[in-house]
Amino acid sequence: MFRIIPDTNINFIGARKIAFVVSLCLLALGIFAFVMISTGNAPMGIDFAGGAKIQGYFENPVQIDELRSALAPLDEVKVTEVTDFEFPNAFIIKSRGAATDSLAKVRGREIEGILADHFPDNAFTSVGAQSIGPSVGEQLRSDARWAILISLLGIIVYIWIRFDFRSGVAATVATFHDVLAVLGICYILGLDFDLLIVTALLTLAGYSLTDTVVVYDRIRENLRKFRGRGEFVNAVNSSINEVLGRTFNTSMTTLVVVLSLLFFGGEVLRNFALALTMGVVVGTYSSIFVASPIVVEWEARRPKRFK
Amino acid sequence: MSGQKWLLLLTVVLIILGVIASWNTINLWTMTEEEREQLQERDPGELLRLQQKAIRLGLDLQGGIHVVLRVKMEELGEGEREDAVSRAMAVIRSRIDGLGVAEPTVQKQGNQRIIVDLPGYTDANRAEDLIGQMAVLEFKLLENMANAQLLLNKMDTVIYEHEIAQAEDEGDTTATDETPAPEQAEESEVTAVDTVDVLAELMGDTLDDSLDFGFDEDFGVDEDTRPFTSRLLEVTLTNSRDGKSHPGFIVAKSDRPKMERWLNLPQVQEIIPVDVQFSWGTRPVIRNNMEVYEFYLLKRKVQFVGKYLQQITIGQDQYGKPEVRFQISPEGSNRFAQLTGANINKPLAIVLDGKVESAAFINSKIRGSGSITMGSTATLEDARNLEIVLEAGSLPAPVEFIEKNIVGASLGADSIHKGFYASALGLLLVLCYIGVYYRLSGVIADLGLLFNIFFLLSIMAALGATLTMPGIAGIILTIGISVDANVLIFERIREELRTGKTVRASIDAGYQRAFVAIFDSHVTTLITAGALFIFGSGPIKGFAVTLFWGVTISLYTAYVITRSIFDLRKGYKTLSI
Repeated sequence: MFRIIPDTNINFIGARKIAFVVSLCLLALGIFAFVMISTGNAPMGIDFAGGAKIQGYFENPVQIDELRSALAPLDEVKVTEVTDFEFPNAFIIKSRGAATDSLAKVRGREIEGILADHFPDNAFTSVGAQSIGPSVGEQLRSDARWAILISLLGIIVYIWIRFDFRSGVAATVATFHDVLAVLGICYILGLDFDLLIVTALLTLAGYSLTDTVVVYDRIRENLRKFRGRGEFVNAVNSSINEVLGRTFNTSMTTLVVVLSLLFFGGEVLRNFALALTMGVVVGTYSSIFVASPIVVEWEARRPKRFK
Repeated sequence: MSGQKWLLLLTVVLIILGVIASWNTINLWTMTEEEREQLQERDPGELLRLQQKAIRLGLDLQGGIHVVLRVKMEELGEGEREDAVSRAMAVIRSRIDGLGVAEPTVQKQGNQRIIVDLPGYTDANRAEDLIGQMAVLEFKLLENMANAQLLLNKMDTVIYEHEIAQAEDEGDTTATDETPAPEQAEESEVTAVDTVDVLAELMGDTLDDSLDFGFDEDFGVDEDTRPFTSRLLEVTLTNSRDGKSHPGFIVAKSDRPKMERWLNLPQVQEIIPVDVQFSWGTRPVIRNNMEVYEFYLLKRKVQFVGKYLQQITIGQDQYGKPEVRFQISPEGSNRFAQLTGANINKPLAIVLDGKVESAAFINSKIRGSGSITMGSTATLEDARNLEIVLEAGSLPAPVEFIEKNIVGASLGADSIHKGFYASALGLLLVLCYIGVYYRLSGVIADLGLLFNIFFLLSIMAALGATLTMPGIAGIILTIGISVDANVLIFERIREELRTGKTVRASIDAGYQRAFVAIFDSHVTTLITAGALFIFGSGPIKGFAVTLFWGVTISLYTAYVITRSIFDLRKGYKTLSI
């Protein structure tokens, strides 16, 4: 038997005060980021914010990643190859911001300038610049909000039935904590919020929830053993310790996948993979330091209701 | 043990079904670029079939057609504007459904624009045809020949004067460059020869009363003084029953631009009476190995409209050419009977968006059904397009194309390659990690994981789902969940072994105790996936679909496939875990 994590008896619950401070900071950061995003003060991706769309063609063939890195100084740029244009080597370049057609033209000239510097022997001819609206419409946004709300309610109800009400609430709080924390870190790092980041947040919510439920399951099992001895905190603590091996292995395997996406997945997937990586780390942290301690605190405040 | 045999049988059946479902996908994805090109040359239909049956990739992964349309609101009255864009979107959506593209997106942008994305579709012209046409179908009668000739006479005079005036203008400004281009001279010679036939048709016995055409018969139709009439090469609509002619002509393809220019002259527009209109045929026809256009003079009054057509099907006319057949709805049949009954032996033109799709003589009173013949050059695809637009109905307002592009994958082909290799590397590392950490048991879990991915792809192929980047994220999460299930079980078995239980007891207890945790964590994920699927839309839905099936399959592989392998190991003294 090959083990990385031996039998442990770390007092995770004892460290909950420190964990709460860390979590509150992460939460505050997340809420701040959320407010900034809602009020339009965060860098939104082209998906959400729209931007300028410049179409043009090069005299000679150009590698798309070379073009992409040439345009990297403009903060968010999406480059697409156009295959049916009347000239070969045609591209559509989308760049964030530029709410009007005239601003888009200014951006178009800027891009022409950058490309002229970068490809001095390969002229880029622009054939049009206009402003485009967001591709993620209001409908999709409100749909997504409903979907998230309903799924959270569903989870609270399910965990309430299978465990108890406070666990349902605590698991939801922990999930929210993870999503907001990653949102906050993304904001600090100045990542653009696009559809891929939203997908990453949904993925990490699913991941974090699984982690939490596994710990709860062990707590539920251990509470039966510890029943009557009033050692609620001990039951929780040893549960976390017992599943630590599993937590570590699952996190490691998931990390391996997202890290290979991060390092080898190319520029387009980098933000997505970065958000997922943070999600795995934060999700693991929260199942140990957020979801279970909330239940402990809740229990401590209502000792009479302990079964 | 018989329960287990059933499960084994079920697994075998599922694997066979999975191979069948994903056969096309495996074939297509394992092809190299050259093999694909070879197949394209050898049998393009086969490649298309493969592409349609394989898992489709979204616009972000494989590209397709991206068009932006603007609904021309200015051509609508105040009252009609309100939901014009939504109605146009509904019509466009049902037309695209006729194309058979999986997961097309039709979205509104701003107040007047509609974005249409057709992933994996590359026939831009057909897409433009289908999406862009108004598809207003009208039945119209033709003007009589006598009036047509009067009008053509007047037009000839006006155009002749215009041409002279223009020649003088040009003479003033470019006096030095007087030599006409040689090709031009040749061309007019050819036309002059052709026009002799026209004269015979126009002047010949088909006419009831001879009209004064203002020129001497012996000299033919003079191209200078009769610029317009001389370009009408032939009268196409002469009824063999009563010998009467109707104003349906053919025009050489090369003459069409010039004639259109003349028709648009203000002085020509002025003399065309308001109750008639000139209309071109929808597509060129072949006459004497030459591409020509049909050209008609119609009465402007709309006699019957396309909304009464139903049960539209494609058939073949007597020459084996495609035609579109229709039934007339009960509400329309009286009107159609009246129209056809009153105009027997006269031609009836079926006009789609101002162009004549077909014009044929009415032989008898028609009540219930009819057909639209489409001419000698029409293809089956033309007929199919007509069928689709007639089924879907007409757009509430004309649209214009603001953008029309065949785009590469929006994430870029390079990044998809990188993403693919990175995912494969990640998967490989996971397989190694689990194999090293849990030894032989880990290898069994790896097998389960591979089964999991295989089943997931099969289901997506069977559902005809479209794989987008969020969908791939769903697969990554599935890998995590699948590994997690096995890790939970193995850690449990190890715990049991450490307490000194036998291999058999440890396997049983491990599976049994881990089940609750796995079940609960899977169900919570299913709840998330379900809510995202029901209430979400677009890419979020795609994510939910992969997640939902991934979780379901993970439960199956962990508790049926890997477990049955573990059951075989129960008799061992020690367990490699």
